[in-house]
Amino acid sequence: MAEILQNVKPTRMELLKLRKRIKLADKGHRLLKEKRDALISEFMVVIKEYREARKNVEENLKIAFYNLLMAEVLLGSRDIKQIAGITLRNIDLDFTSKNIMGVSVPIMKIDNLVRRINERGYGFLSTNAKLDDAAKNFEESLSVIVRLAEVEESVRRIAQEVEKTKRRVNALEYIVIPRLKATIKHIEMRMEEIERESFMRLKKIKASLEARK
Amino acid sequence: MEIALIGDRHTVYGFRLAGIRKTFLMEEISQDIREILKGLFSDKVGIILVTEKVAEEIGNILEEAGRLRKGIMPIILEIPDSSGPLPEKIDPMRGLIKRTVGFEIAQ
Repeated sequence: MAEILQNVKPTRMELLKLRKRIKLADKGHRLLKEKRDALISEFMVVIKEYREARKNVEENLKIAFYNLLMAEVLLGSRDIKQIAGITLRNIDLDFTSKNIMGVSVPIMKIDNLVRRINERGYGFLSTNAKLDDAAKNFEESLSVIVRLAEVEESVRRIAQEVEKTKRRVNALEYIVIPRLKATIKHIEMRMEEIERESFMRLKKIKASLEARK
Repeated sequence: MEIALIGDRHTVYGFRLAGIRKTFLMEEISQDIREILKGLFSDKVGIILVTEKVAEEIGNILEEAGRLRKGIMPIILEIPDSSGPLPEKIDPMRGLIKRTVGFEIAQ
């Protein structure tokens, strides 16, 4: 039996108030449960996307690193370092957010990142095709990475919200509602007791009045 | 908004080839990483890429920094480096999934 609320007087007023509260708690519990289920189904969708994105990134990067290594073998690491210093540019990432069941998840857009060979800024005389490949691979990986970042953050945020909702559902189900119920029962019993008491008192008074006659 | 990277030599060169400006080579960082992160947070950086190995090294600093951010950006994302994903990071969301859904979901 759950413990009862403290500082509640056994009056009819309190009883009515408690009944209202329990109704509200029940409603909240039902709504939160629905929210939790909806969030979990959303989570399942996102987690699937996340796994795809992650695999994509891993595969892309594997090829990219391989080509970079090849380029380094052919050119030497000093040249690679120099070339990597001149291919920089501004990357424009468009960042907005979307609302899923009260959770704001990021949405990112990025322009096409793959540049043409002559847009990268290095000369062709001292470089080779492997370097072009590597640069292209990294540019391609960048867009899948942006996608992964978006999905991973969504997964994290939705998971957080699910946990929060779960905690609330459980608190209502196992603590708040049983406690309210126990208190209501306590008040009802107390009131019956009072009723019996006053009934008995009446009888006694009646009997003593009768005896005095 | 921009993308930033903290990583080892190969990752840094690779992503510089792709055009990322704000790259930090882990071996060459002399100042406090906290300062760098703070700088990235106040600049308009949307994603901070960190290689898994670096993330292991400075994991608690990243977490600490993650709590400082306002709103949803920047996003800190771990990526595999040139030697591929670390064995313990192959499915980094496993624990999270188990905690949220209550059971594991097969791949």
